[in-house]
Amino acid sequence: MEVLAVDNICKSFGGLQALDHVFLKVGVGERRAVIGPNGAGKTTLFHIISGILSPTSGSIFMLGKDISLLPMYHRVNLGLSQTFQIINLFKGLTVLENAVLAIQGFKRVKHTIHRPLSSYKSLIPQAEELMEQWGLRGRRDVRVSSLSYGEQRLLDIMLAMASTPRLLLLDEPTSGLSLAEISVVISKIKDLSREITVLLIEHNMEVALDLADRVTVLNVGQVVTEGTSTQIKEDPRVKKIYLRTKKE
Amino acid sequence: MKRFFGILIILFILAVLPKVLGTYYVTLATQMLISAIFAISLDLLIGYLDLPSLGHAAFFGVAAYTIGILFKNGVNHFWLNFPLGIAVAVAVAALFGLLVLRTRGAYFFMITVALAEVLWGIAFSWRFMTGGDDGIPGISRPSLGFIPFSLGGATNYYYLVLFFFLVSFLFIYIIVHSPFGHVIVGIRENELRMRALGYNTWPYKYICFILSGLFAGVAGGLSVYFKGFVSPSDLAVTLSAEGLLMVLLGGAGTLFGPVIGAGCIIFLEHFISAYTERWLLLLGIIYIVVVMFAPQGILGLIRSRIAKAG
Repeated sequence: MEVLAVDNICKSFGGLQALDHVFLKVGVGERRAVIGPNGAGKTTLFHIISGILSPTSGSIFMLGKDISLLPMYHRVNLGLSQTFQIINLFKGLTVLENAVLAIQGFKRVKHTIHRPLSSYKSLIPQAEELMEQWGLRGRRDVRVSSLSYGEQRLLDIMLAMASTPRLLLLDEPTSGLSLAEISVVISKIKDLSREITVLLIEHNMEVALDLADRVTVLNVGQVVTEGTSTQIKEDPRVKKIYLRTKKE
Repeated sequence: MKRFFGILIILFILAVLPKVLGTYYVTLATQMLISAIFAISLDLLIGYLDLPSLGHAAFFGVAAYTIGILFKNGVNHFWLNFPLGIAVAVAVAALFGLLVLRTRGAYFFMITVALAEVLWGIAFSWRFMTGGDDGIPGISRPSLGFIPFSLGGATNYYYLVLFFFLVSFLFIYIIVHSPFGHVIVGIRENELRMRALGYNTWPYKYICFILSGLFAGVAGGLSVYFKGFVSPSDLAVTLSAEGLLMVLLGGAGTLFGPVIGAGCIIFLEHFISAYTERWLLLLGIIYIVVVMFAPQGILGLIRSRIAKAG
């Protein structure tokens, strides 16, 4: 069974058809990249999968369950997690406070109103362990707004990983990063357990082909083709799409 | 440890205040404490959810009116009227919350004003029930029933208000330091990301809004017995604005800030109204000065000074 099945999804914003009968199937443990020029509908597709947007027609299945009508937080509790194209964090809080929020999110603790947070002895060590894994332990008490962009991106992925999701959506995880930072983020993504399925949007072709087992090419809201990295590299249609947009 | 002693000293001062000060100042202190409860309750919205409300008097006023109307109809038991007043404030908050929490920022601001003004209008025109713009005068303080403590004098009433102030403060302190409180702060910082982390944010906001209404109701209930009088001004936008100013002046998102803000505003109000009736003008000037020179409030100003000095 696939982790994710996008079934005949259409989405239009007024007169603009952003997604046009999109089908997509992602297997367990797969690393799948979605590539395509600007305006291809990649982020729209992600937002429909995660529940930020609702599709005009079509369905989304996760682990065989129709999640099309579920609210976002419900999908998260079923094992879906995501990062955003524009880094989306709790900027006024410290790294530790960010981590605690992410860990609390899938625990019953979050409903407690009568006990101090600090009395939950296991939360802090769990948060510290998480920060350790992502190399942010040393930045524990630093406000997020004072972190470097690369660190913020790592924290972004860390928050998404706190719930040990089955399916992780990464929307351009390397955008805006320096070359050194890109290699750190890539190695972290490569280190993820194969129990986690990763679906990512990537503008940087090299990064996409390096990370992904299979690549789906999207253009003006339609799936152009799908295949392994090598197949995609050689595909004349893909070359044409990218060359044409570059000329323009 | 330092903080612990600080709190002890504050408690000691609050406890011996009536022994040292004359009746006028005890009355003033009582009003400060009532306003402080009101300001902290509003801070739950402004500081912790980043929802600036200009209709918070609604909950204060309905609690006061509930008690007043019961009194007018011959019912005046503290343990009946007071909890009922708070219950009505909670009910109104539960209703308003359904409407206002769909909005943010300026829209939230406007819709809270509008709803509070509706209640003001009702209180103003439903003479038969509310006494219209005359209000309900002469509300006497009931006995505490089984507790042998008379509410008659200024000093005794001060202690009652002090008791409720401390209880309210403690409750809100516990709430904002609980995991629930951390979630509220997370929603303030980034609601979309909270949902992406698996939080159903709506109930948190709703509960926080209702709690805010509850404590405003406590303040309203204490106020009506304090003044012995309830009138449409207890529901007016001026009162909401005063609350807002107390929170901003002291420092939103802290608990001591609104208390300091309430103390300052009430003190200034009494001090200045002895000389001029243009009290609201001054309120406006204070607002502008705070926004320009101390956007984090008095507490924020003190903290940044300490941080700089350290």
